[in-house]
Order: sequence, then C-alpha cells, then structure tokens
Amino acid sequence: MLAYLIRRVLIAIPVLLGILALTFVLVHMLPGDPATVLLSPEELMGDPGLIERRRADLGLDRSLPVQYVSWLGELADGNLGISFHRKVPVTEMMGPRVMPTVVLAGTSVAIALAIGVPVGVAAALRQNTKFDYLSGAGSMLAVSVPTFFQGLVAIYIFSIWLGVLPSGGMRSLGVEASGVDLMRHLILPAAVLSSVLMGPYVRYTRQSLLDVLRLDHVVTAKAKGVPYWGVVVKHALRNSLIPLTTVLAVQIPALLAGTVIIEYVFSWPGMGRLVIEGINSRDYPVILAVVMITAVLVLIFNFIADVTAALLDPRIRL
Amino acid sequence: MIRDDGPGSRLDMDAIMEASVAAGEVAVEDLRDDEIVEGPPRSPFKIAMRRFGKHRLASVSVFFIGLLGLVAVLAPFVAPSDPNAVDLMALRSPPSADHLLGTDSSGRDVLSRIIFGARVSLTVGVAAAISAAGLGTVLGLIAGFTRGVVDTVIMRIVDIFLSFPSLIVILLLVAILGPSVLTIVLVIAFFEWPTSCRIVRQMTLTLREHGFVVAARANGASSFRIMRRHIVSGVISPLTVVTTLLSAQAILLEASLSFLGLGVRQPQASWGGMLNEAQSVTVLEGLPWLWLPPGIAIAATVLAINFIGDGLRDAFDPRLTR
Amino acid sequence: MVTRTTPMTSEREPLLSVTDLHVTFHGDEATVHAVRGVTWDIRPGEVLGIVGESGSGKSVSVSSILGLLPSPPAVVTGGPVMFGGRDLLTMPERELRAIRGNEIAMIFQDPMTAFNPVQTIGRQISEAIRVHDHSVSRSAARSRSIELLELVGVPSPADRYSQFPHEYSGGMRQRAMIAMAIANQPRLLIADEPTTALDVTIQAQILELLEVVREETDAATILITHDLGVIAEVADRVLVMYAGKIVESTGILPLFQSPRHPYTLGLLGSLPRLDDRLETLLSIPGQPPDMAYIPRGCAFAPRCSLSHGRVECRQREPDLMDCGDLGQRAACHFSDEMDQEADKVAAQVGRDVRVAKE
Repeated sequence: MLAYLIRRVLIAIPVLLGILALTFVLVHMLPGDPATVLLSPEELMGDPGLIERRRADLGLDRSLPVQYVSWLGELADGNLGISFHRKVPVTEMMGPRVMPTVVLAGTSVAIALAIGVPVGVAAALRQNTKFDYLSGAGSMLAVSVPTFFQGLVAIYIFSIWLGVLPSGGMRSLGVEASGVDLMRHLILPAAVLSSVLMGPYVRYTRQSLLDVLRLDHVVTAKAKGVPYWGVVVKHALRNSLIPLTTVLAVQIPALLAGTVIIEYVFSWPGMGRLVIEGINSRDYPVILAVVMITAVLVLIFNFIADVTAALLDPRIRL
Repeated sequence: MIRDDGPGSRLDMDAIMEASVAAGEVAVEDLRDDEIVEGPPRSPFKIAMRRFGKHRLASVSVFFIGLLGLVAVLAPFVAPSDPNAVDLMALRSPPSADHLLGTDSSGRDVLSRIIFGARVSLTVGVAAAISAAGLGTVLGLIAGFTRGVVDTVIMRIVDIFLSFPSLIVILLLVAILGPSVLTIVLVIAFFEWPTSCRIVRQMTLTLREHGFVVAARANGASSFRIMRRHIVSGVISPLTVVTTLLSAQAILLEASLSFLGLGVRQPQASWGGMLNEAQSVTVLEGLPWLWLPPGIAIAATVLAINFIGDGLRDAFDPRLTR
Repeated sequence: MVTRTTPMTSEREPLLSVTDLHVTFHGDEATVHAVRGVTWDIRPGEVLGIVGESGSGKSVSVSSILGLLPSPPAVVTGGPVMFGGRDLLTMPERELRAIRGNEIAMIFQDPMTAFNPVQTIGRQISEAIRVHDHSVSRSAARSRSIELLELVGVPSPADRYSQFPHEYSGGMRQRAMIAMAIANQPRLLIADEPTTALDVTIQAQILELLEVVREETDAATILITHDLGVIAEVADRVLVMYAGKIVESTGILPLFQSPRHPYTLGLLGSLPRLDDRLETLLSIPGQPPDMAYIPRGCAFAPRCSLSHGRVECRQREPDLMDCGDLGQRAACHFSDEMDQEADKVAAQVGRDVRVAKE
C-alpha cells in the first residue's frame, strides 16, 4: 500500500511541474508589463530609468528558466501574484470568494450524487425498460442544454414567473443573514449545477453496474443462494462504484467551468465570478491563480481517488 | 467459431469495447455472446449501420443535423432578411407575420439571426472537433506505437491538459488573442485533444498485441505500414464516436464564450451572443422571443449530436447486441 | 453392472430429473436455440458426466435449471425439472434461492473470475453458510469456513481465510471454490468445467479432491467437461451433447468400448493417449452448426463420416433411441453400423480408438 502511494506521488510530481510550467508560459503570453503595471503614469514620466530598475528589482531581466524557478519559490511562499486591477495580492482578493464557491460546488456535487447514483443503479437493474430510456434521455438532455440557458430558464420560471425564489446573489438586502435565506438563494444555482453534473453520474453508474453484473462472480453469488438485493449491493454495486471515485476527481475542471457560468448567471459572489470579473478587467494574475489552484486541486483529488480506489479494491494495492 | 468476414471485424468490436467505457473491464462473456448472436458472416460496418438505423433518436438526429447544415449553408437564401438589417419601425417587436420570431433591441430579425448563427455553431463544432481529434490521433498513435519515453511524456502532457479547467483557460486565451471564429476553433482544439489522444493510444496498444498486427510485423511489414493499414482502420470507429461528442462539446463551449461576451464579436450573429443580450431582467421577463429561440437552438443541436454519438457507440458496441 | 454404483442406488428415485428442457436466447439479430429438448436424470450418489464442444449447450442446460441465466435474453421452456418432488422451473424465486448453494451447489470453471475480487475468500465462504442459516453467528461461520478450507487442502487455512482471491494461486482458488460449494452439505454438486482453467498438474489434484469431497458429502455430482479423459476418470454415466441435444447417453464403459454415435467416436478419436504418435490423432472435420441457423435433419450430418449424404440424415432429426442391452441410447439413424464404422476408422489410422473389451 505504501509503495503504491509513493508511486502515485512520484507520477504526480512531473504533472504538477508541467501544470505550473504551462501556467508560467501563459503568464508570459499576457499583454502588459508587470514592471509598469504597479506604477502610475506620473512616476513613469518623471523617471525614465525607473522601468529598468523595476525590471531588475522584479527579476524580469533574468532568463526564463531562472524566472520560472524563482516563481516556483514565490508560489511555495503562498504568493500568487499582485492583481493588476486592484493592486493588492491575489490571495487577498480570493480569500472571501472561496467559501461561496465551496458551498455551491459542494451542495451541487452532493445533490448530483444523491440523485444520480440511485437513478443509475435503477436504470441498470431495469435495463431496456421505460425508466432506463427516460433516465438516459433525461441525463442526455441535462448535459446538452447549456448551463447558462438552464439558469436563465430557472430564473424565468421560479423568480420572475412564480416569484418564489431569488434570482441571484447570496443573501437578501436589508435582511439579517440567516441559514434559511442562504438556502433560498442556493436552491436555483445548486439545482442547475447539479443537473449538469448528474448526467455523467447516471451514465457511469449505470454502465459500470451493468458491466459488473455480467461478471462471473455475480453468478457465483446467485448460485450460492444470496438474495437478489444481496447480490446487487454486496457483489455488484460496491465493485461498480470504485471507478466512480475517479470520475468525481476527473470532473473537477468541468465542475469549475460550471461554477464560472452559474455564478455569473446567478451573481453568486464566488471564485467563478471572480474569474469573469478578472477577464473583463484584464486582471490576468487573478485568472491564472484560479487556473493553477484548480489544476492542483485536480491532482490532489485524483490522488485521493486513487487512494480510495485502492482501499476499496485490494487488487490495486499491489 | 470461425468467421470469415476478414480481418478487422473482430478488432473493431474489441476496439469499441475498449473505447466505449473508460472504467469498464471487458468480460469474457462478451465474446461468448458475440459468438452466439452473430448470424452468417456480414460486414461489421453494415451491421453497425443497421444497428444505428434501429436507434430511432439517432436517426432523427442525423436528419435534424443534416437539415440544419443545409439551412446554414443556404442561409442567405433561406433567411427572411439580412441578419444585420435594422428595422427601425420594429424594435423589440414580438413575433408577427413580418418577423416570425420577432426582432431584437436593434430591430434585427431574430429568425434570420438564428439561421446565420447556425453557421457559427456548426463551423466551430465541426472544425474544432476535427482539429482536436486529428491532433489527438497523431499524438495517440505516436504514443501507442513508440511506447517508452515518448509515450510517457505524451501521456503526462495529456494529464496536465486534463487537469486544467479548460473553460477558464480558453476564456483567457480568447481574451488575449482576440475573439474570432478561428481563434475559438484553435483554442478549443488545443485544449480538447487529450481525450481522443488517450483513446487512440489505448486502442493502438490493444491492437498491437493482436494476432494480425504481430503477424504483419513478423512478415516484415514496416512500422509505418502496419500503422497505416491495420491500426488506423481499427481506431476509426471509436474515433468517430469521440469526434461526434467533441463537436457537441465545442458547440457548448463556443456558446458559453459568446454568452459571456467573449466569443464571436457583435454584430455577427451567434446563438450564444443572442443570449448574451438576454441578461437584463427586462429582456428575460418581457421579451422571451429574444432568448428562448437561440437557447432552444443550441440545446436541440447539442442534444442531436449527442444522440448521434450515442447511436454510433451503441452501433459499434457488441455488448448491446442482446 | 457397468456403472460403479450399486444396483440398489440405480433403482432408487432419481435425485434430479430433467424432462424436455429448452433454452433459447433472443437477440436482436437472431434467436439462438442453445438447448433443444434434453431429458435426463441423476440418481443420488451418482457421478454424471456431460461432454460436448463449447456451444453444445452443456453449461447452459444446467445453469438454466438453477435459474442462473440472465433473462432476457434467455428463455427457458419445457420441463418439468423435478428435484425433491418439486419443479425447479415453476418454483417461486424465493424457494429456488433456498435450494441454490444449499441443496444444489455449483463449482465454476474459472476460479479467478468466479470469486468477488474485492472481498476476502473467507467472507465469501461464510456468506454461503449464513445466507442459508441466519442462526449461524459470524464467528461460527468463520470457524466452519476455516474447517472447510482445511478439508479441501488449503494450507494454513486460518491465515488464508482473510486473504483476497488474487492472493491465491489458481489451484488454491479452485479448492476454495469447492470448499464454498460443499459448505452446506449439498445433495447435488454441479461442477462446470472445474479443471479447464487450471494447469495440467493441478487438474489431477482437483479431480482427486472432487472424489474425496464426494465421498465426504455423499453428494451426487454432475461433471461438465469437454475432456473425455476427465470423464473417464470419475463418471459413472455420460451424456454426450451436440448442438443443444443429447446424442448419446451411456454408462462409462460402453462409451469407450462401443460408442453408438459417430460424434462420440469422433471425440474418442481426438483424445490423445500416451502411446499415440501425433498422426494417429483424428479430428472431426468441419465446424459445429451456427446455433441460430441449425440445418434440417441431423445436426451432425454435415460432419458425419457415417452419413455420406444419406437422405434420411438430411431430412429427419433422429431421436434418442435404445441401442444394445446395456442401457445405451443414441440419436443416430444408423447406430447399428457403428461397430463397422469404428473398425473402418481403426483400419485407416492403424489403431482402435475404442477401449478393448475386457
């Protein structure tokens, strides 16, 4: 088990370095000189040699690989760069944005799992029935209708037409912040985001369970006289859900893409909205920080998924 | 059971089995089923096409996409008016005999804009998917065929790309490079190739070990010829499925970009861009003809393409022969 | 007597009797008739061998009896299949479940895939015990499982109990499989190609173990195999299946001494023996029929050396008929020509594929 973990970490290291390198390249593709960005036009006009000195101060006169290494050092210190727009450290801007996104994404994943997995199981157990076809078409529809359109339709129906739920934001103005108020604001964005995530869960669960149900050991269990649900739960479901852990990890980029659009549509004050604001104000360091954090999160969750799968499936530990 | 329908058939089946479910282990059972169910020898392609034909939703979808393509190509002749022509007499007018789907805030005909918008969506969908699949195929073939260090490097690069939140990076790149259909296609292709690369590599590795490829090598066929003759033909079917699904993905991405105001530049008509205008509560509440039609158009197109992909997968996948 | 069982046993009521069993698979492309009306029975304590090529319907026919085939696409018709005075085919699933793994237990071909890979072997054996007797405690099931593992010759069974299938060798897995099958002292043990997936050296050990287990539990055994050599070692009586039908039903000695169906003769000819040179091995020409498109007449006729295109073979499918006084039955229009045919084959290849009559 330990050897397995070490191997996973060793594989992850070059990927992490690659992610950082690609991010670094993107930083350098950006228009705008970091040397001038923190200076006012007056300062620049007053002292022509200032830019050169700034460049030297910031280390921009060194070769790219050297810069890359020192940038890695900065990252290790938790320095993600300075916002072009607000002139404050990116970490400071991101701080208050983390929780809203975690709440939204976490709720959506939880809803999607709570509904998607059982539906997938039911579809597999009733293969080729009406339920199977309907859930298949439904999950197909959920991934085909653009997220933002689902959001607009949800707002149109529930906020404008029925007027039962708020159309955006995280809390009502002039009302004491409360759990109930947050819940009311969370329902629509979380529902739309979970519908996007759910489709793949349904499909993976269904296919994976069907695959396992075909295996010999399921027949053995049946031949032993294990009751139907015992066969399904103990001998098929557990085995079939192991790959789902990987699916969850692999979906993180899609989850983040989803939150970007959902937060935009529902004015949800999270990281996704920060990205859009960053793009509109050309505040690239902010975007890059989000990109990098996501990529690292994917790595971490992949690792967790690998470990979970290894715990659930003794064959992997070898 | 011996079947004499030539090389390729067995492999195509294996190929699809491998490709169709990332997580799936292929049960030995499949082979047995296949043996039981196969009738007299028939071309595997014909069998696949017949199965596809039985998939009703997929067949309808092919018809729909075909029709949409035709409309897009013939847009100048089909559209009731110029998509950018401003009718000052009819600003924000609801659907009427003059304007079947009404007009937008600048008095432009919504139906015409939808018809011209199909051009953008389909172009991006097809071009981005084919470029992504092409890039992925080349790299996948190289990885699977050389193995060793080259393979490891390519697969790590794939891992890196798959870890990135592609939507955000695409947003960023499009913002930097300036929005145009070409940029969007290139950027999408640049971030969506890893899926097809993985599948092609997996296929290549599987096929390499197959009897006839080994035999070809033993007979002294050069690597390149083996690659071209046998492996490419085996890879084609899963690749078709993946390319189809990629194009749905690309259309959604382009729509999202345009919706966020970072896609195709106004005034060029695009479905996502039309929805971009629907963000004010006034439009959302009072002018549903402005945002419902383009939304439905995107949804229907993507759904149809996804159904086609699904139909193709089922058609190539022997597990569903029961 | 030709069978090893005592005359007393052979006159007792059959333990399991199958009448006119049909199994069809309904696919998109075609309907496959895997089993086309088989009738047979097995008496208590008897070892019945079922031989045939893959696809002959031998496995499917026994799986269908226990309701183990996925349905759809499988459809089981005909019957009844009587066991202990009740029809297995019409019995409610609940009651059938109480019989499965309890009174009738199965040993599968591939012990690698037949165990759940993510559960310990011990847990799977314990489950077989506890599923039929809820009063057995976890720890009691555990000690019983360890006893069983010891009985089938798994070394250090207490440690092996908590190991996973992949930590066992192939032969050990099959031993564990047998332990699981006999956990509830079944009256009938069905072994479906129990040695096919194993190394030759292990095969003999497993066959020996089956013999030991049979004596221990006194269970009747159905042994399904494509290997006549295996049959020769353990079976009392043999059913030869071809294209979903029984083509010959006979005691073990008559099978080897005087086969009454040309397919059986073909199987004997393809059985290698120690004293053989390679060129004396015979193979049956042609392929078994496509089970979705079985030709008219005798299904074996296209490959038969006895048929020579005789009209009767192509037109009418022969029934299983008595031939000889040894209780031998064969489904061949010309089974009375079999002795000459065997002589002819012997003359051609320079050896008699039959076993000399004592």
